[in-house]
Amino acid sequence: MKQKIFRHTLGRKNSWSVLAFSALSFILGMVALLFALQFYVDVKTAFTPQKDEEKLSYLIVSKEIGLMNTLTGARANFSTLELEDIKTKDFIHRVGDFKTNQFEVWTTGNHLFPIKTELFFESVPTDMLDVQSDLWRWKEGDVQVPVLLSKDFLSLYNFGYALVRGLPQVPASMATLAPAFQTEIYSAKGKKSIQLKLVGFTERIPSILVPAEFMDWANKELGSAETAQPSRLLLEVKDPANPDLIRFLQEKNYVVRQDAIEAAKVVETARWLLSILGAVGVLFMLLSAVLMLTQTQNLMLKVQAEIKLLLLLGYAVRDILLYLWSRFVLGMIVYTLLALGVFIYFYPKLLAVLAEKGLALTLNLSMMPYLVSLAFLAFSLLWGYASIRWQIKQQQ
Amino acid sequence: MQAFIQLKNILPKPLESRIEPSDIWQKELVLEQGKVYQIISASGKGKSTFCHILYGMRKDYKGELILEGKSSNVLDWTFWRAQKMSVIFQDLRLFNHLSAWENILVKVALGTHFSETEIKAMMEKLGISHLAKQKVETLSYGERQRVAIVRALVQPFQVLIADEPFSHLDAENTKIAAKLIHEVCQKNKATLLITSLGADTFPFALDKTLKLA
Repeated sequence: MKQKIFRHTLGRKNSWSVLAFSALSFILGMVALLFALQFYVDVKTAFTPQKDEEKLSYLIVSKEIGLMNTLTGARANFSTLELEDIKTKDFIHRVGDFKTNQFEVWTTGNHLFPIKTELFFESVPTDMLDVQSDLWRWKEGDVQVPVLLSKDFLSLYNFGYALVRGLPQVPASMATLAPAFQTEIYSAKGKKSIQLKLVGFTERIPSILVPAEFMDWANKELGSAETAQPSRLLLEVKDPANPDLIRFLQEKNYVVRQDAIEAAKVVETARWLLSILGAVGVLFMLLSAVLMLTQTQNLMLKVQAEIKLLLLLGYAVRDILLYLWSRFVLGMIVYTLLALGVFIYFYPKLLAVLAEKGLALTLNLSMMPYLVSLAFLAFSLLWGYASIRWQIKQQQ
Repeated sequence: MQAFIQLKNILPKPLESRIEPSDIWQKELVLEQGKVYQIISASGKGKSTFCHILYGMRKDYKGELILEGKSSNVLDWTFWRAQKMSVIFQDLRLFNHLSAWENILVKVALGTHFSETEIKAMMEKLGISHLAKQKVETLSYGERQRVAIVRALVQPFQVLIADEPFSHLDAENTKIAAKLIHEVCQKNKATLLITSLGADTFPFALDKTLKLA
């Protein structure tokens, strides 16, 4: 019966225009929030795809080669002190040395790659490679040596050398099936025959890579016994766009592959854009919340005389509060469902329009926008509760 | 009889500067349960103010109000207004957009000892049963006053504050309304406080008449 009394005394003054405006402000705020958050998720995914992220977490650094290096023949190596310094930086996760050959290499190719050329080798720690292969192993006595080639080299061969020489172009999958390259390694200390077996192509390291075990053995057998300082380093970093890292590399005058820096800059810019998007979302949310509060107060003002009289006649604050708040909750839930409907219907249309304009984004299923909206709804409900309670208490 | 309501040196702050000798302001006063008190004064001497203080609507006074041994400051007014104390406001305070019957239901919803038939009989006695479905805003002031009287009587109460309850009723209707109020108060063993401009309003035995000025 109390509910009927409340409906008759308090429900009568709900003006449709006020209700509609209140609903519209909440729905718009919620839709804007959902759009901003989903857009954030999609843009973020587009700017940091899994593959690029993996590639970007490895940086190849070297020291700048100056005129003095050319004139004196001094190698631009990293000193032990410099290596120690790099290893202490917390923005650098791990450091891998590049080892180079201290002997000469001459290959005569095979029938698929009929090239005769001098080569060089480098080796890096196996677990820092982007290619996993069962064939990537070598032990003393093995004649066959696995080799990883930079994918760029295959492109150079296919679109440069092979075209000029009228040789067939070779896809990566076939290249690894080709027979081993007959190869000689030699120095003043002697000469060895090996067979280079191509086991894959690396996108991470632009070099000709052999297992570190082979490199150590061959350098010991044919090279100078002393260990050379590395001239290139493979840095495993958590965040290549980390400003501290970029500053460190610049201060030390270390050279990083340009594409890594460019990619890092793009990611940094994307982060800024995403922060702005996030801020816009939060702004919409706050505006919507303020509008909601104003509308609730507006509705409450209209029934304040009725509330005052009900309190005077012996109605409890709690009962009036529960009645008004339950209507508020019901409204909010309906508005939220409407906002979700608008979002689910219109968001793919926005993506379609953007795709036409040249920004291709895919819809990523993420709970984040829904959870934030849910949190916003919960916040609005609590705010509504506090606001209604305060206004009823004012009439006591 | 036990001291149901105690007033200890009550003085409304707005009257401080123009206080006149009275039986209520700045007096130690005890109102006993089941008794009938009439408060008389000319207009503007604070009858409604006194009623509002008793009903817990005003706090702007000096002194202390004690109800059933409890200070009014710590009283559960919601419970008191629903179960122990009823009021007929001088300005009626009805929901004008509701019908006469709906206005009475506002009190019935909080609890009543009366059946619907009994309530309708009360309306019948006061000559307003035919107006039950009519919106209050369409009624005359006298008719509204009778709706307010029935609304005050249907709830359980031990104190009834009636602030000039017959101000817009003719002599005949006043007699009928006063009889009904008297009956219900006797049934409830309730204290009745009735204010009026003159001494001859309530045609039943009074336990005490208090003058405000």
